[in-house]
Order: sequence, then C-alpha cells, then structure tokens
Amino acid sequence: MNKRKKRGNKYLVMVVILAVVLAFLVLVLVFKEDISFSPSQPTGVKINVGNAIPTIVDLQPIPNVNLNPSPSTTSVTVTFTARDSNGASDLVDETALAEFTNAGEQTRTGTCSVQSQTQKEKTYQCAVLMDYFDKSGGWAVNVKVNDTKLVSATSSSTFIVNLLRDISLSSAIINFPSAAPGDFNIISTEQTVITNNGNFEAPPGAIIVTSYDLVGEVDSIQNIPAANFKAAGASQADVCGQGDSLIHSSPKPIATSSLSRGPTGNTETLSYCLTSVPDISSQTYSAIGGNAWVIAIN
Amino acid sequence: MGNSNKLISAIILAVLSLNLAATLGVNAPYWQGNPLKMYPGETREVFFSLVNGVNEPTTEASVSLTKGDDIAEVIGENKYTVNPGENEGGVILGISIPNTAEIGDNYTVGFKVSYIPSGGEGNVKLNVGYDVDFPIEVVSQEDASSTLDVPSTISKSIIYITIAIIVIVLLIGIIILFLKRRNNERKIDAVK
Repeated sequence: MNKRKKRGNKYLVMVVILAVVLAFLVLVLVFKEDISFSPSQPTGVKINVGNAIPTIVDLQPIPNVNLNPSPSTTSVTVTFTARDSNGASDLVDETALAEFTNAGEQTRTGTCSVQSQTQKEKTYQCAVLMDYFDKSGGWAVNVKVNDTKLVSATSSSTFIVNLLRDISLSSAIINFPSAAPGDFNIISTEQTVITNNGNFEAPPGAIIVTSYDLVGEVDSIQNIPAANFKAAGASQADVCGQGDSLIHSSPKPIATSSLSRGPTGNTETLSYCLTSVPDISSQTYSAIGGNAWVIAIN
Repeated sequence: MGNSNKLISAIILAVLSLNLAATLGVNAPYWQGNPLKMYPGETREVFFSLVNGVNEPTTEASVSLTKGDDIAEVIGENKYTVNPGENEGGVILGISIPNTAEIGDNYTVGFKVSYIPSGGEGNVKLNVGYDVDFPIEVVSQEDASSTLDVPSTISKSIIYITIAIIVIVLLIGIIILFLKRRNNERKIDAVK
C-alpha cells in the first residue's frame, strides 16, 4: 500500500511540475514582450531599459466597400491596435496612419485618432477617403504608427471594393428637327452625354441602346420604325453612314462607344440619325412612357 | 408623297431637359473576373446595394431577373425606392446550387435594374438600365466564398490565455482527484 501511495505521489509531483511548466510557458508567450529575466548574481549591475519595438496586435477586417457615386467620396474606417512594452504613451499618435494601395491606382491615405487606450496598447481609428472611380477588386490596407524613437509598427491586410455601375445622362431627351416624308439623314439636334459616376469601365460595345418605334401622337397606327434610326459614339463622326442601326425592342450595342472611369475622360457622347422619313401623316411622333428608349451598360 | 410635302410638324418635338436622366447606380460584390464561389447544395443570399447621389431626387427602380432563373430569384419586392444619399441594402438575390452540380460547373446569374428618370418632356425619352451579370463557380465547400463580408479572426493572445486557463483547470482537477483518492485510501487504512 505504501508503495502505491509513493508511486501516486510521484505521479502527482510530475503532473504538477508539468502543469506549472506549461502554464509558465503560456504566460511567457502571452507576456513575452514584458518579461525580462534578472541576472542570477545581484551584484552592482546597471540595467539599461532599451526601447521596445512597437507592434500592431490587431487590425480589424474591412467589409466590402460600396463606393458612393460622383461627386461624393466614401469614407472607409480602419481600426487597429498598437502595443508598446515601454507603455502606450511611447506611441506617437500623430504618426498613426492608414493607406490603401492597388497597383496603378492612386494611394489613398487617412489619418488616425486614438479610440481607446490601455497601459500598453492604443486602439486607433482611421478614416480613409476613397473616390468614386477607385478600381474595383482587391486593395491592400497598410497601417503604421511610430514610437518616440521613430521605430515603426506596421501591419497590412486586404479588402474588396465593389463594382459601382452608375451613369448619368444629359439630357434625357433626344430631339430632331422637323422633317418631311422622304427626307433622309436627319441628325438629332441634341446628343446624349453619358457620364460615368462609378468605377466600372465599359469597353467598346458595352453601351447598349434599346429603341422603340416612334408612334404618332394623334394617329397611333402610324409610326417611324426604330430601324430608321442609327446611333454612334463620339469616335464615329459619320453617324448616318457608319452608325449602328437600331432595332425595335431589342438591345443594340453601340460599337463605337465606350466609357472610362476616372475624374476626367469619363464621358461618352452618343449622336443619332434618322436615316429616312417614311411616307406618313403630319403629326408629332414620339417614344415615351413604355416606349422610352433605354441606355444600358453591362 | 409629293403633294403631301407639307412638313411633318415636328416629327420629334425638341424639348430640352436640363435634368440629368440618371440618378441611380448599383454596387455589386461580384462581376466578370470576380466570381461568386458556391458549393453543391449551398443556398445563400447575395446583396447588391442600390445607390443614389446625395443631390439627386428620390428615385424608384425596378428589378427583374434576366439570367439564371433556374438557380436564382429576386427575394422580396421588384420595386425599390432609393432616397438621396442612400447606399445600403437594395436587391437581394437568393441563389441555390443544385446538389447534383459538380465542382467546376459554372453558372451565370443576371438581373436588370431600370428606372424612369425624373423630369423632361419630349418625343424620345431616355431611361437608364444596368445589366448586372456575374458568374458563379461551383467549388468545394472549403473553397466557397465567405458568407460574411469579412473573415472572423481570433487574436493569438486569446488563444494563449485560453490554453493557460485550460492548463490551470486541469491542474486543479488533478489535485482534487488526488486529494479525494488519498482520503479514500486513508479511510481504507483506518478501517483495516
């Protein structure tokens, strides 16, 4: 019985030692920045506390960004926590910043302010402004803060900017001069200026016009077929000759039109041509309400 | 035709409108080149934000599914009112990938957002439409797109502290067990 007892005691001692060592190692891992081992000989030793390297211990993930259309910007919030074993006051708030980068894109930078603070950590919140034309897809976010010795703590992550389709038209109406039956190649008096207020890009052919026959406002049996109209982008000067013929109730890509993104060059101008006036009665013809034409982008 | 040479008075009456025709946009989390990844048998809702400019009037938009009606549907209303400056919520698509789908299969889902712009009278009125198409790739469950906007992360410190707590609890448990066992042995010895 005594032998069993002694063996039990041995096991207990071993388990306790093991557990203590494990707990100690874990605590060392947690507080490794703060633990320093004293010399074994307590003789006249001068201890010079050096500068601890600050670290970013947390960078909050950024949800997908929905950009606001032109002319607005979109404020994206970045939150990160920096730690300095010399104390939170060793972190220099004025140096805290967040920046967004994407190859070929303008870097977006925001300044930060302290949101909360503990003895050795500071949580910063930064506002970074993005523009309506900033590229869709993955962006890198980099955060940084310096300590008083100009040593930087940095961290980075990624987030997604969603694709914003947003166009405005000026004007919403297409006009033609008066014409008689048999007249041909009548160019619209107004063009349609399409402005890209988002970050999408429309390659040639991605601007689509769905047209409808123009119906007589007095005698609705008479009409001007949509097929008698052509449309073209700004790159095609000869809309009557080289424009794309429209089709009643069908989407028609305008091959000579495209739309870039950006603060400039983000417009396209559509012009229209009535290639021939059929033999129809004198009255006003229109395509409104359910027959309104549609300018669409893919 | 000759005698009816009278001019057709204003085949198309010119009425200029100074208003902009478009006041609405769509933010999409998926597009060509950035597919949604789902696994066979998965069902999820995908959100598309309708956005209106801050200086624009309240606008009504209609939404209709144009592609992929075998796996997708518009959830809720087909008509939306978008207030100035709004850029949240909007169109919700419910998408279900069949159990029989195989990894590597591809689908395309599309919907159209259109609306009647405010202001302007004339003979040819222009509306605006957006054809929002996006691809869906069928992948394994591990490779599927996150259902959250952002991945959840647990800090290392929390993990370490949790381990420390577990070790301490284990230690206490072992000591209690040992004390109990020793008490029992003492009782048995006393009886003997």
